Amino acid sequence: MTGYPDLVRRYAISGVPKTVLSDGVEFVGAGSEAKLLQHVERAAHGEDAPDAPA
Amino acid sequence: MGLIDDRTAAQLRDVFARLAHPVRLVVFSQALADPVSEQVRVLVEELAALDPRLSAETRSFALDRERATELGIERIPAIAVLGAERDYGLRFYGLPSGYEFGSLVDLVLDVSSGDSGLGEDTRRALARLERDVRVRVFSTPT
Repeated sequence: MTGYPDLVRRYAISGVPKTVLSDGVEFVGAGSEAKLLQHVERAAHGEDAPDAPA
Repeated sequence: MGLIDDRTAAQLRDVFARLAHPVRLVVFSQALADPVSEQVRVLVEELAALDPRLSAETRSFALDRERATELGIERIPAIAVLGAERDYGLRFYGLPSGYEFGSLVDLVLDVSSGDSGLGEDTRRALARLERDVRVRVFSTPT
């Protein structure tokens, strides 16, 4: 996280681990496999929001 | 002595004895622009030297643009962890120090096994996804 200040700003990383998926779906902390799957499904079903290249 | 001391090297050799299949570590660095990436290159080369099933491919982020694009590398330091037959899309960015060194080693073991460790229900659900999802996990080296 400290190595990439631009990404830290862009994704407002203030705590880790932070997971950022496509379409602005994100969560902080470890979470369970089921929870992660829910987030992934949300990201996959979202609108085609820009997943801006770095 | 390199970045990996003798005691750690011995432990890693034991861990890598479990490797099921070969793993290729493609490391992108640029010595002048990013000295940290140079450290990562050395670390990856030392890591790969610990077991014959591991190989390191050293690339310049500035010069090897074709390879960087092919592997979707956007910044350095970067390590693409590739299976023998398959690229699972796993990329490690940054310096794998502290606990994150363990994350890199775990990543190598996972790729080697070809097994995500996910349950059957999760695999079925993921297989039904209609489009790719990019997952980025941010952490801090400790």
